[in-house]
Amino acid sequence: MSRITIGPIRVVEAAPDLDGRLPRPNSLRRAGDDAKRAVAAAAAALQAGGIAVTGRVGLYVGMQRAPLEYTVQFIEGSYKDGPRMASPMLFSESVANNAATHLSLTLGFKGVVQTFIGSRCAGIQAVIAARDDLESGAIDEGLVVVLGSSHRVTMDAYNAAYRHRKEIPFQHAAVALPVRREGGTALAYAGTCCFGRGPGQKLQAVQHLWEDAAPRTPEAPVLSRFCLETAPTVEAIMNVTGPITRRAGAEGFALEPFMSLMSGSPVICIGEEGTVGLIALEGPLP
Amino acid sequence: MSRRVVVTGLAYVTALGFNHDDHEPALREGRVGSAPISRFDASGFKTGIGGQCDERRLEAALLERFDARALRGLGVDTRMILWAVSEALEDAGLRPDACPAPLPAVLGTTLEGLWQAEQWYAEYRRNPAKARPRRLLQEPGGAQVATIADLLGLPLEPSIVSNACATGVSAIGRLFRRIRAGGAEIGIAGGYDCLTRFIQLGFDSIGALTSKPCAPFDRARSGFFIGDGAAVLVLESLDSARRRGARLHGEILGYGESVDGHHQTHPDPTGSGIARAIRDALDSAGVRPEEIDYVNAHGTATPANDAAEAKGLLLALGEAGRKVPVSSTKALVGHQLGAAGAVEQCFCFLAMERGFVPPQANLREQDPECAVSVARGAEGRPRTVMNNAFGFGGANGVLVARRAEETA
Repeated sequence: MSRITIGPIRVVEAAPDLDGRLPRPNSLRRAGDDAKRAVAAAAAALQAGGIAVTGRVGLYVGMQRAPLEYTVQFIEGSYKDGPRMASPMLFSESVANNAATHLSLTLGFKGVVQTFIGSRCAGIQAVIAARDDLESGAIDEGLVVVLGSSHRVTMDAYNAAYRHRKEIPFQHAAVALPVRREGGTALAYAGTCCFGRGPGQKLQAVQHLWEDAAPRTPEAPVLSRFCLETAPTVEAIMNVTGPITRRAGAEGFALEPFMSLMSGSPVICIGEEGTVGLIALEGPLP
Repeated sequence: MSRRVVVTGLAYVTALGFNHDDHEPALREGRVGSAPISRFDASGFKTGIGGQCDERRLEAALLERFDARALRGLGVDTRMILWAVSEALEDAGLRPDACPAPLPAVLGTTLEGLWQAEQWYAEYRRNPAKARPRRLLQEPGGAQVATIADLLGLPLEPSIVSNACATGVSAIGRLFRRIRAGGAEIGIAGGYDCLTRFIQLGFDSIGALTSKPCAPFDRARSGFFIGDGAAVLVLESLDSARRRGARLHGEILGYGESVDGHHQTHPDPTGSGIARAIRDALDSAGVRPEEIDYVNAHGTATPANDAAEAKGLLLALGEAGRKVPVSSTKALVGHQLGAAGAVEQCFCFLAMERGFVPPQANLREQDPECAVSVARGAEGRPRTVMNNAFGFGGANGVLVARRAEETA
């Protein structure tokens, strides 16, 4: 496998001055905040990486859930005002590849453009896809953009489902990072797997990934999301990986592993639905 | 390294039934799978028809493999993809415990488990305190993956792709590239989506749905209906297939993709983005335009799509584009969103295996703006076929495949 690097990383969090950080803000005036953060982060990462977008630069977007802000408004509106009043603008902003669409239209991506969803490992899946496409020659360079956001309806569901935990704080942000043959930190390992949704099966998945990755990742890992796993599960994980640390901070779903990755330690990401991911670099993320 | 990639197993379900035996007569005869929607209350909607799969038959098929308790609470979307994965592996002659673990699985969906989320949201609206949160937490695509892994005892290396209506082709294309480059020997790829209140409303709101017969390339075309669908293909290197003596459905020769960069929902009317994806696919396949014997079009029967697709085909295929038979099977099974490209790839293998060209259903007067050779009859024995899929955001995906007996 040839050398693949990732970084430098750029992070854009929820901020009142977001529009000021957008290229061509008028074209994004109807876009949701998710898409705007994605564009701002991508523009910053392209600039930091000195990358000019051509048809040979691939775009890979990862998120746990499709945009919820407009989806909920669309559905709620159809109940309140009737199905014939459902808003076509809200519908088109609610589709899962909406961020990728805005990124393409604003920044000019026209070749490989893919969106990965469905788990908190979706960002890792995006990195893997970019790596695979670099190795197969489908692209010359890639940009991965990962989104983390939530909505009151999912916040309510998580807090109700995990009500014995403390109230979970949620993070709204986007990260973007180039994936290419040089210019960042070497990618030591990236993988995901799913054995099933039970704690024992998640442990099997961790074990599989750690055994695969360990020769390339001597450092102790960080567990990117700790509070959704029980103490016995975490203890069992430590029997496999050795001492483990956890990242403090807000729940960012798919962007979680990347927030942890900045320290340079390998990151284990456990999705509540069962997909487990591991990503490791050969040094800190620039 | 550039390895040959073959299809050794496949399974698919639509409103017309299951697999090749149900679909061959339906495609030949032009049988349409739409009916008034019964899955949810569609009163007050602009259009009220859809292509729902036979859920009783699906359940019966699942109960042959799984315990009833294991299936409890699973939505129709999850049931369809669970069935398709298990059936495709069986078709490939693979027991789950004999598959490489974890098995690469590239699944595409635009809605994930939205059906379950809609049930949750209905509870939430009535009383947020009483809504069962774990129903919503089963909505992400990863939950469907976990169900498959759990019930089959099959560890998966999952990747869940969502590129609008190009999704099914994107998923197959992604796994194809990986196997071709030597990154895996075998894996499963496909897509799934089902008719839900949200998606019916959504496409209704933009005027893409019709209650009239879905008539791709027709002068009077007025859109499509939404159809349930799930399709899974087992992709494998030819070497691996030969080593275990696997039967071949055919070979994936190439994959191409592009993005129009034109508009959030409308395709580039010049067809230039589509043409780029087609040329990319032909280059990837090492196939000349005149070698294509049939094109399964994206063909949504919207005014914009069909015209742009026809222009794209002519731009990319040149003179050959005027002669190659083209049809859209969406007239029969509806638009299956994330499943569409994968189901239609199965239709391509059906056409090659059973020796016919799916004729275009519901065509009365061809639109002169769509100056391609729309297939009027089933004559033909396609050897090399192309499958187009395009989606919101100008996402374009194209696959080229060849008949099994041609695989030496």
